[in-house]
Amino acid sequence: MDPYEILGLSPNADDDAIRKVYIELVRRFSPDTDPEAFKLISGAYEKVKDEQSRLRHYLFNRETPGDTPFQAFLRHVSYHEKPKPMNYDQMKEFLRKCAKS
Amino acid sequence: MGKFKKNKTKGDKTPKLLTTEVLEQKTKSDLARLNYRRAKEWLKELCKRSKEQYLPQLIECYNGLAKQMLEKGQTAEAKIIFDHIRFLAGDKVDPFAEAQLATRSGDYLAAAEVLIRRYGDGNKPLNTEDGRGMADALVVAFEDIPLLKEENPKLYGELTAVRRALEHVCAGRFTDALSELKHIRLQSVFAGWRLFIKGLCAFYTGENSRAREAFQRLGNESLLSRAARPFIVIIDKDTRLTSRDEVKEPLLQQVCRILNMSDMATALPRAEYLWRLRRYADSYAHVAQTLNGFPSEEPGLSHTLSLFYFNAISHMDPWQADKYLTGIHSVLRKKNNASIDFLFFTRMRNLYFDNNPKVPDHDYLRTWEEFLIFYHQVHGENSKLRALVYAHLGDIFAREEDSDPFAFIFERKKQKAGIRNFELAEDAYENSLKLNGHDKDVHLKILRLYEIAGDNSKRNKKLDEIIRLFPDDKDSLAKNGNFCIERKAFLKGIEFLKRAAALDPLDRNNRESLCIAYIKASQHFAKQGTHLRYRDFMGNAIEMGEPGLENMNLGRPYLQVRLAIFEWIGGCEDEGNRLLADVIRNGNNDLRLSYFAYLVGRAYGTPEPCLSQLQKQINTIFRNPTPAAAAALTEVIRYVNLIALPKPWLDNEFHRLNRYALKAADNACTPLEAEKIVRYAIEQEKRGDKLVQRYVEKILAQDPRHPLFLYFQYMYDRSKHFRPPTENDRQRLKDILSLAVERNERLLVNTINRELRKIEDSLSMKLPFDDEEFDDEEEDSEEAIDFRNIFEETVKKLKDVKNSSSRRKRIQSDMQQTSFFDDLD
Repeated sequence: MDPYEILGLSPNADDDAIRKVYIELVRRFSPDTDPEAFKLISGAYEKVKDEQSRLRHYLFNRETPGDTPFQAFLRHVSYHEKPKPMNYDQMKEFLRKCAKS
Repeated sequence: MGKFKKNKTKGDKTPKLLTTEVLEQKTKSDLARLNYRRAKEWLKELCKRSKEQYLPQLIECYNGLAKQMLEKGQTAEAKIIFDHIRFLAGDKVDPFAEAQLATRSGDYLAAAEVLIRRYGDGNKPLNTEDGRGMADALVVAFEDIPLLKEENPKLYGELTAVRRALEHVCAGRFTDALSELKHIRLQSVFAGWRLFIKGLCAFYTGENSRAREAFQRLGNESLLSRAARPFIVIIDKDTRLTSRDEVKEPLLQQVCRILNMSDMATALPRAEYLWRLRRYADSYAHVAQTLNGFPSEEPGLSHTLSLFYFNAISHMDPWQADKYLTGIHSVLRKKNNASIDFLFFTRMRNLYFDNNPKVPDHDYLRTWEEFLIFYHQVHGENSKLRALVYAHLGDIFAREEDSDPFAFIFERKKQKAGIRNFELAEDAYENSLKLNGHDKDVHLKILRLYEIAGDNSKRNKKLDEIIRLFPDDKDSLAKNGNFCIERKAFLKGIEFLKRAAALDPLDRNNRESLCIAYIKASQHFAKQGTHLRYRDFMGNAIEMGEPGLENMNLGRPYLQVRLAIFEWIGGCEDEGNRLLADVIRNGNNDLRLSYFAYLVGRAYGTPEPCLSQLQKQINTIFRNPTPAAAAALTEVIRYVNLIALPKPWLDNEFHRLNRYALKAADNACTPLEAEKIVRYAIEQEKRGDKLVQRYVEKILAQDPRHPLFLYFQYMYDRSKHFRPPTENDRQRLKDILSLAVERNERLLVNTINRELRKIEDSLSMKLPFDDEEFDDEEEDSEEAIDFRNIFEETVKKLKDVKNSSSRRKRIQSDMQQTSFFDDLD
């Protein structure tokens, strides 16, 4: 995943802002409470902690956010926004489509 | 009968000509195969003969056919069948099939009413599936159904609860939705909807595991299971969609809609479908065409997809990657060169070329320079980025090329064939430093380049520059210090090493390097007869040395022995004798000190008369063989062998010690002593075979389950036969491993695990001649045997090469060690 997205930052964020967010996140997801999240956050921070790292990541990063476009989409969404419910009309349409298929 | 004629198969007679028994038999058989179309032809004829008897079966057959048609989406045809049933038998139409027809035609209310008329009063029994079907039809009607209110108020109440709960969910009032569900009985036909709504509430409140559990309990092939499926896909984002899903693009569209991303519903499902067909470039083209703002460097979904499409090439095989590159290039051809698209594309292409040695060096350099031009056009100048690109180019051109492509198969040591392009690498690094002169990594990379290329003059200049720029970098100081010592600039070297050691007093490596520098300098000055210098240096070395006899570089007694030797070399024989006597006395007459003094004295070129007394003492030791003494002496000779060039006297010393250790094997021996002797013997390859055998057998006779000695025995057996490891070898190692675990031998456990991994890798590799296909083909069998012979011969030759190269390697490594003690002759 994109480190900026993991940390919830804009690529224009400076070193101080990145460090601040990192410390905040590490407090919330410590290695004891959520080791997986901690690993993800630390890995992301290492990639963007200073200008040199950020440029290096921009130039040479080869990671893909998934194996297929759809997986990349789902991962992106899962990291970003909590899904909001469809409105009632959309729900009706959705259920009727399921009835027809 | 028209259809019958059309579908008539060979050998079938017209129904008219068949007897009733035959027609009944054929009907039964076709109905069993769900071939309603043919069955109805036989039944029609049977109805002509006895309408009362066969009409119910014909109606049932028509209903089955109508259902089949509905499943295939042939709604118009199904409607004709229903009309026909009504014509024949009034209301005998299957209500669920009719409701399904109405649903498919979009008349949800009609569907619900059909079912209410039939079952809505609650008097007719409903099986689970039919009940579920009715509940689904009632809910998706999403309209008021007064008929139900009259016929079955209880059911009506539950239906209203489901709809209200759904409304609450859509409005984000999840608690209200859950309270509404309390009005639905557990055994109700709406029980599935109860579960589905609970799943929705859990999903939207982020309780994914509860949501998954609820959705998964909805089973398969129902409205609710189809509705739950996209939610499950979102929750289990990493699960691969099944092949059935792949063809069902609506599933992906539904996922997009659930996530309120309807715009993606047009782009993503098709892109996914093309990607799964391995039409990667087409998938990219589709997204580029349908998704606004793609590609993008701004954070968001478009950026994520850009990363996906432009980094995917790194995970493709070369053939696919080439095709993908060409495909995307043809899509981009119509675009403006200064666009983000081109920036992404050139970056992707260049990273792909990183590992493609077929691209000529100058073309490769040009591709990155092209990227820098695009970057400049899009984002403006960024010197730090340029510096990084040049450093990267330097890394690629400085790569050491491997001349032996099969090295990895035969575990051969890679042979250096030189640097890919020294000049371009140097230029690239220099360009990088012009843009960012304080990048220590790049300085160190150039230094390494010079080291590999063997350009000592440039290397030393660069090292001086690094120390000037980074005076507090202990690694650079230590490196420079060692280089100075190598070229006999002792004072300068010691100065650098002192600074390095002072920067990190806990770093043992730097202390050891400084100590070795003192020893080398002392040896040099002792030969020149400059007493003050070597005494001063050795005084410093002894002061920073460690007590005990474990480390022969840093151990204080060994340093004192060295000072005695330097006194001999410097012509102060008495002083040397006095010092040596003191050290040996203070060291409780440890054999190691005497033998160390004798061997190192010879290695340093001490005058023979000085060593004569010592030689007598050593001869006395060798007259009385004991395993304890043998173990102690092996430690010393192993160390001296590392620091001294191979010489005949040292070879003779090895023979003498081997004979001594072999004689000592007749006496009682501890496992620790035996271990030292066996390790020493293993290093000597064939010369030490007898010793290994003797001591391993001796310890295993005392303790047959000793894991370390079983492992030694295993390694010894393996070294006798150069063959690929077998299943037996694996089993044997596993047995030893369990013993090692039992005795908590952690180091041995790690070693055996490493060995096991190697064996497992080797066993998982399938050689061509092991393939059953080859064995089965008789014509090829002779060729296969030839191939096997050729392979075996090759392996044998390689073994010889390996042995000789390992000897060479040992000599090289000895020479390297000896560089600490140069001028031995």
